[in-house]
Amino acid sequence: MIKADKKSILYFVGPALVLMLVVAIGPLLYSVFLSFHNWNLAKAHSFQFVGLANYLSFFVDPTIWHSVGRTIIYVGACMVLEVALGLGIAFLFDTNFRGESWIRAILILPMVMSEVVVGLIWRWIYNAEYGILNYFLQVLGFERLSWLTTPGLAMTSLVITDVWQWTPLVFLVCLAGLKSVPQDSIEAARLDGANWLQVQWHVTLPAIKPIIVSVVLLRLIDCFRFVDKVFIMTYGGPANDTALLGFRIYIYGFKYFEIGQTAAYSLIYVAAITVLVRILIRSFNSKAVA
Amino acid sequence: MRAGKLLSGVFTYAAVAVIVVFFGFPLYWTVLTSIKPVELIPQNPPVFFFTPTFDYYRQIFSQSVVWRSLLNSTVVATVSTALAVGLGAPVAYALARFNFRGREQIAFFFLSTRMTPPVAVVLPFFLIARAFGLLDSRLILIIAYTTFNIGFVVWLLRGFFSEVPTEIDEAAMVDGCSRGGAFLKVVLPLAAPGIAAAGIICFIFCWNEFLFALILTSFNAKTLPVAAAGFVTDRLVLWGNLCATAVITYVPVAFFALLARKHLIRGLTMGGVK
Amino acid sequence: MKNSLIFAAAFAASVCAGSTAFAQDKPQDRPYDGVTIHVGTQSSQWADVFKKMAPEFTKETGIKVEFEDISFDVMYEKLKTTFIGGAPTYDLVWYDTMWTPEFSKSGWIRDLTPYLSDPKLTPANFGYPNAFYATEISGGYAKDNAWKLPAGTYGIPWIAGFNPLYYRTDLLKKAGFDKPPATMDDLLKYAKAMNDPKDGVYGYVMSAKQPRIVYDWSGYLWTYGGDFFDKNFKPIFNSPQGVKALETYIALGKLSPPGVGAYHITEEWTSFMQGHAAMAWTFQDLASVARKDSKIIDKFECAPPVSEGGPRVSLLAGITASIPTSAANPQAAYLFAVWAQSAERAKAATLQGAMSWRKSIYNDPDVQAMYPSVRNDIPAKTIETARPVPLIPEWAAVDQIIGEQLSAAFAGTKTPKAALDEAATRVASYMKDAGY
Repeated sequence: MIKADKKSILYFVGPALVLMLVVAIGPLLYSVFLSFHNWNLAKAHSFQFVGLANYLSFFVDPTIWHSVGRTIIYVGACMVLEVALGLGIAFLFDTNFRGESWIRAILILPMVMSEVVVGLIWRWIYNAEYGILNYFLQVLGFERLSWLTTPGLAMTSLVITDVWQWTPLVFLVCLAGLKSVPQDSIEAARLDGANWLQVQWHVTLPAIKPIIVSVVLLRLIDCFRFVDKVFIMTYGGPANDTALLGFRIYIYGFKYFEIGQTAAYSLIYVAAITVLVRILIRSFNSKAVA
Repeated sequence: MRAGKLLSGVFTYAAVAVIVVFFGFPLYWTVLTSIKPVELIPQNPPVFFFTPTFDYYRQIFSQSVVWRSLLNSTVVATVSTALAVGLGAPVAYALARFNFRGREQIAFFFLSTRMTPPVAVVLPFFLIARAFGLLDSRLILIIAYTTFNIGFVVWLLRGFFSEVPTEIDEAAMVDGCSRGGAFLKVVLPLAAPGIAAAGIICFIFCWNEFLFALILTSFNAKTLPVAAAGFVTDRLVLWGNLCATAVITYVPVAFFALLARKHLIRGLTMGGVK
Repeated sequence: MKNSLIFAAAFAASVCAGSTAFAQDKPQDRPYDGVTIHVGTQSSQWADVFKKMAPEFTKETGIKVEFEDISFDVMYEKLKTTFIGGAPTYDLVWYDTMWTPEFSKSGWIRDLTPYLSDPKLTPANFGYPNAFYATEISGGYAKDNAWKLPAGTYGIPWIAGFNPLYYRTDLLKKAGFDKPPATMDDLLKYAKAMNDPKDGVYGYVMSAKQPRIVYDWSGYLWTYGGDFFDKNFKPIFNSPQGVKALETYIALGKLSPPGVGAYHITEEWTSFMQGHAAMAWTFQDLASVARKDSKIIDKFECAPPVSEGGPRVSLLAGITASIPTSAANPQAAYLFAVWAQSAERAKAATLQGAMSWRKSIYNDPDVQAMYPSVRNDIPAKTIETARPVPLIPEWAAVDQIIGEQLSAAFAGTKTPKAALDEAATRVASYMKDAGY
């Protein structure tokens, strides 16, 4: 780490920072302003200052707490599966087997489609009556399942779809990380007599750790945020089983149009994710020291 | 030794086969549906062999909205990817290399724009865009997407840049490069796989973003995901048209990924640079 | 009832004659020549029908028409954001009738009363409101109406939405029934008798995905004599009638294909058209689609909904055409709306799949040939006794609250009574906040 002069920092950071300040700060401040007001166009009292009421209602709303619980399960499952699978596949593809580059080009396609289209196609695949998945289950001699309407299973179905769509991102980033590990340190370890597993464990993995950390953080943030699939596939059902927090906030914002409340909830949500991300970074860093 | 190699080869291909089936089947199913005659689409048991039809593609490409949104998506995604990477990479470099006060705060600030639920910012964004007369323009989407993606680029590339040993830029600076020169000429090429990955992913984020495109654009600047959602009617989903549109959305990204393939594959060695 | 049909037929004849004359004397007077109007439409096969007609309108008036298809799932947020921002994006919008109360009360769409009385804009034979069904749900509010909505005409009835009962003639016969079910008990009995999952046929099919479940269930609620609100907007859908309705609905759900809890209309229709279900209670236009492309082209018929002694109450819904307050070319947009719903065009559109609310078309032999759902006594026993979901501006939120609880009962995690009570409590508190 270098202690750099102010000027070069300005050159490197300045342009992007200005853009972010100009574009992002306006809406953010506006959100903060709104969060202290009650603004609902459908209701009688249209715009009034309510202080912290919007923030407080977050903590006393039982549906919100239910959603928080569901979100933790959803995000936790998605993250574990996506990171484990993505990293595993990246190691596999790093062996440069024949046809690797073509298969890789196909592998990244799931994330190309918008969540809406992904949700529709999977809703159709999961269709209990004439979906392709149940057809295969039946052919293989298994019981047909009601993927999207059985409490418990619906969440699994959503997780599978998310894993399908976003594991490629983790994979792509990890593969890029593996590709940029300096070859000579790997060679050096090999010469010392380390086998493949030892090389990966002692050389490659530590080298790409910062990359893994950043992709975990980014996936985590997006996993909380992207809820379009929920609308299309289950709409929070059955019995609010898949009513994730992002989905709830969307409902408050775009179905109830409780604009002030949505702003307050969103800010709490951002604060919570910030804390979570900070804890994660700290724990990653402390492990590095140990 | 030989047997071990064979075994690991078998294992590799078996694993690859499972991966391809899981990730590839829904894609294959989409492509298949996009050429399936309409009466066969909802059939159960499903039909895998049939005389293909290209009617859906013909229908789609006869609509000016599809052409327009294809162009819009391409322009918006390309420009904002270039901007996000161009503006974000230097920040990532500074965060990875320099030790200065407020560094983590700045890093966090970049990430925070990505944490906000879109529903909370889309309305303010809409009102601001309206005030500046930017509604239904590509520019407003470019601005929005660039801001969201800079945070992503900064955080991702920070990891890649910190993977490049500091001695490398110091060596370059000893050789007479400025700090900027060292970044552009030495560090950036070394992090090429990361840049390629960040570029592809940014492009994809722009390419499939839905909510902002929905709210901010209408007749002129509408992008492909929003146009594709137009094939979902309240009564019947036009599966053939929807899947054909999905296939059309794959193609440019697959093309882009194939172009970036070389950069992803290059295993640069220190020796090569020195 | 007969009288009104005869009246409608006579009226249709006069309207047809008139509209041709109207079209002929137009060219001399093209005050909006060169104007382009922007139409925001719920993406649908109906929208495509009008897209195909638009060039003809352009030829007659010089007004160009551009369309934007918006998916039903996101239509509400798209329109509402546009209206809140006051953006002049649309000159005309076609959208679900359930949002008309909110849009009109918020002042986002125009009262068309002055347009309707302006002979330059409205041909004398247009016949609004008497020539149309369902004017109230489409935005025609009388003075001092029960819903406390501003008096005026906030929309032109655009696309019909009513719900006859569909049944498979072959399966009914096989199960030994010689006429369609007449009561709710019949419905259950028939569904049970025809349910044969091993053979790939279920007794019934429905669409119970949120938020659709509220609309799907509403017909049962009303048929049993229940309702959503009383006169003072107090929720009463948790009454014994409501509970009975939900129990019957859930029982029918068990006789439906597995997974109907995730079905929207799309899946429901596909199921029926693939021949997997013996009965369905759904929109009239399934009839025309299923007569054209399905495995049951000549194996199904329609009947009026069942009754529990009282009137046969089913859901009245549809699409309405409104002109936003922020529209840049309201008159030109209005001309297009009136042109497209003239008797002649209404029939043409109906025959292409966009069923109009214009009464005259319901007796037309061509229309009846295409839609088994408008034959015999079905319009009289379905449309005229049908009911819309409450016309309150808060409906979008109320609908969400009820839908969640219905879905919980449907999934079996709550009893019908507990779910409805919970929904009623929450709706009551929401309505109180809203100033009722």
